[in-house]
Amino acid sequence: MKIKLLIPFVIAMLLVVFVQYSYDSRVGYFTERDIFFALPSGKTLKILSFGNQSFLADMIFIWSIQFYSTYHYKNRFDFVEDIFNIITDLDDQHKIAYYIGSIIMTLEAKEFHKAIKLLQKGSKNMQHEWVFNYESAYIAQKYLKDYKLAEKYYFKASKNPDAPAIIKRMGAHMVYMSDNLGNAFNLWMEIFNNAESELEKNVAKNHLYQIKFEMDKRLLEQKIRSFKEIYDRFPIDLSELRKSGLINQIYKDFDGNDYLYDSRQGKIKAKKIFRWKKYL
Amino acid sequence: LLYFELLIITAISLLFSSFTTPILSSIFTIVIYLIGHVLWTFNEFKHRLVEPVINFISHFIYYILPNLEKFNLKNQIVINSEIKPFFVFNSILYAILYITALLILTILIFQKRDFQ
Repeated sequence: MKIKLLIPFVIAMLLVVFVQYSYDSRVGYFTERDIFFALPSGKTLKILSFGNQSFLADMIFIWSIQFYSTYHYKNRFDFVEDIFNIITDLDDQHKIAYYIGSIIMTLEAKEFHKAIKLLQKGSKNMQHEWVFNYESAYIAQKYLKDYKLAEKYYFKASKNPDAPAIIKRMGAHMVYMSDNLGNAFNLWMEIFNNAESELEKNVAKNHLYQIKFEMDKRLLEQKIRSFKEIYDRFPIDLSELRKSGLINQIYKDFDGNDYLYDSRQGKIKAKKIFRWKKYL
Repeated sequence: LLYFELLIITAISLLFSSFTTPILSSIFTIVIYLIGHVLWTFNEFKHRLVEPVINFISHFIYYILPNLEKFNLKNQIVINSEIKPFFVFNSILYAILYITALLILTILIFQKRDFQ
């Protein structure tokens, strides 16, 4: 009786394998295509999880990693915001979900504003974490080139007592990048005066050198143009500019050295060049 | 096709009921249901694995467990893609064969049980 039943079972299973094999051989599993799926909202899933929302959030997170590694789903980024919102609605302390979600949105989906939005949600829900503001600032700086926005998030992150000192320096650098030289100089001077290591002091010094040079260059070149309008030539050197009364002192760089002056073109140069702004 | 999926789930539930308690049976059925819908990942594995033993295991799991995702045509309907009759008939045939195999296995296990 047993063998009588075992044979049809084996035959049925072999046929199952054959049918599945013939199905697989005709389906283009890896051809590019669109996909659609629907997930309930985070609020609904919270109720459906019967108190196991962290577990469910983990499950959806693992699935999302798999989903975003399936490159033949052409429209997979249409769902990126919703998926990571659902995960973080279910478990608002899911640090990795905020982090990985923002990386996917930034590097793959190129949805920079959505990435910042997700990171800010993380920052709001996990106020002890500085990394969300730091990442938001980095995205604003590197991809959006919005230095004002980057500055805002760097300083927000730097207020966290656990934040490394570099974040404040990045914030000060963003002030410089958004061309607010006076404020940038004051910030870097504060960093310079409160530096806790030689490295930090040297970094601040380099920035102060560059900012001072840019401020002085703007002023001096403007005065040189005024000199040319009056005398129809460039001054021979910077002391001639002082003698003319257009400036009341000889400007020096942050190290106390004279600037290099090209009397043929009326241009000012510094001994050290830091190319943080490519157009300089 | 969803009806055929339901039939497979029922057959799986019957199989588990033949040798385990109702609670365990329902848990196992749910697990198989979930695995059945993500079984396509094993299909990806079997294409990518180089190690023959692991490749064989991956093949084995892929063909032995019910592939329930093939009964799910919601995606094709929503994105308005063509549903070929071959896939529908193949899925139905698959369901019939799979249910037959499951029922035979259930009978085999059931016969071994001692009710005294």
